[in-house]
Amino acid sequence: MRILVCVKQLLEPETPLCIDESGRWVNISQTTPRQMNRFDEYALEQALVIREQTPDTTVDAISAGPESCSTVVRRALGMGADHGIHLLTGDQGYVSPIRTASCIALAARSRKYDLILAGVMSEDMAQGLVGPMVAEMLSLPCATSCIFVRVELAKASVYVEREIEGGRRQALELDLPALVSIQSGINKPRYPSLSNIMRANRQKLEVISTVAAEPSRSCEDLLHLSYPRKTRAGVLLEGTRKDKARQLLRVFRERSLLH
Amino acid sequence: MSKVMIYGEIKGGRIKKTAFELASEGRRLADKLGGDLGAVVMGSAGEQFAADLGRYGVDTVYVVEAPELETYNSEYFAQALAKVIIEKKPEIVLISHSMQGKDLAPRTAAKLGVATIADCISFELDGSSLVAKRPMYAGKCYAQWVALGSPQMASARPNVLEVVETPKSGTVEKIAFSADASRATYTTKDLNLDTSGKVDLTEAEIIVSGGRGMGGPDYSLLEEMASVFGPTATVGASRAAVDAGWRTHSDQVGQTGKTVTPNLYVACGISGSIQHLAGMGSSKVIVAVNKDPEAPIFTKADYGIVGDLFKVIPEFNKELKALLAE
Repeated sequence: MRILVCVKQLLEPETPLCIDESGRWVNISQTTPRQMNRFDEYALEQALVIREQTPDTTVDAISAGPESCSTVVRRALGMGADHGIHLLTGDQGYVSPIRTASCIALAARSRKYDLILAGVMSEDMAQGLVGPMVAEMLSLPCATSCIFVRVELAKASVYVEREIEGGRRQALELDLPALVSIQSGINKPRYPSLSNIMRANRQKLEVISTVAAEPSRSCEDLLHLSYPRKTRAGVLLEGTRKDKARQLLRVFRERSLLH
Repeated sequence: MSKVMIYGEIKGGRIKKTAFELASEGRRLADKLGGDLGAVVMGSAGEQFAADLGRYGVDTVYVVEAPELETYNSEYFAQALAKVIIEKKPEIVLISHSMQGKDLAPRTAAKLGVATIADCISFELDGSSLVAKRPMYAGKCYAQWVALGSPQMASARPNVLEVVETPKSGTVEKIAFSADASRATYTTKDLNLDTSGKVDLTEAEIIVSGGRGMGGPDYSLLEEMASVFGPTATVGASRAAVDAGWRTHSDQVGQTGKTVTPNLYVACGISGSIQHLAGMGSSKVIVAVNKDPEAPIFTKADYGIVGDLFKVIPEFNKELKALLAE
């Protein structure tokens, strides 16, 4: 079977963030450290596990973004993906999820994947939109936030369990082709292996310029960025432990937190 | 014709509180725009909630019934919601960023070919444009977005918008719908698998959370506090505690775990990394217990106790029990 994994490159989450002078984007230099979105690592790992269990399976990794993005595709190859696709976008700034989804859908359509995996969301924007949008654009069934995935080759389907509220799970079955978005905790992503890294360095990425391919769709506009205001009082309680406990309980009572 | 439309989520035969949060916010926006507020509910259970929705400001409740809409299904629900939107032409559509909303909003938006802005914490109007505010980069900054195109869609973080009663008629209007079964979708095998019986983090009113400072997998002090607080309280954990194998992944609060908005969040032995703060920063009241007075969590907490949690918590539990026994 043919599997596609959507991977996103993001700034290392520990990097301090600086809003630029326009107030509409953040300063990102070429040297700002970047890494693969952790949720996409889970998705890629899941694809590699499926490949190990399913004969004649190939795993492609796809990423949409500027030049710098090629490193995240190479990272995917280093982890074990067979083939890397870089959808080269023009700008460094924000790309609307619906545009990203259109580009991925366009690239995926002709390649006839049986299964598309994506992280449940990106760590930086945390919207979780691209996966289900790609599914809709390709008319695929889609299950989001999955913490268990099993391909049933004989039935040409995939069985998944997704997290829902109430500490519960839903079990769904999707006929292939399908798109599944992966929640954290499903597996432990492997590190790139030396042999795969060497192969990744030699291997050519398939680069597709998306500038022409981007459909004109209504998107969203970023008006303004701001730092969070310090809104919490941050009162440190004083006194003995008993005093502190009683002070807290008084507050809880005043704020109707106790029933 | 409704200028503003909300999606009212029904779960287990009951309408969720988020529907009233959205209705209250939708009412406020509709009044500013000078228009009506509509609510969409799915399935045969929907109609009975019209009066409830009316109480929170809904003028018209659009009830969509079809055999395919009795159990949540992303494809059929998105078809139905898109149909109502196309028919009623609202300028603004609000959905909850719940597990269902996270699934439904992007699928519906893609059907309509418009953007949707996810996980918003507040809304304003600039003329007739919806300006939606949401955290980005793990809460390191906030961004104000405006959706271009029509309708302007957004999803709201649960338990953040204020619930306000504004009695309106809540008149029922049935919408005829027959599902397009030619579109591929999934089969639901089991709706409620693996019930641990525990209060889910995303629905808990009180969360007592432990981090690296717990020093090991023994969370009995925190379990005790949660059980004294009552059935709406539960125990959470930081990523450090989950990575150490002390707690299961489903307990993890933070950027790569769950985003929670309880009324009370008690952080015990949690330093307060940016990735943890991203998951609990919208809690109504935050209390931090940590022996390190420099721990970043204290700058994000409403109340802080500097001290050894193994001494502070037992004392607190004792006082809490005494108070609740009164």
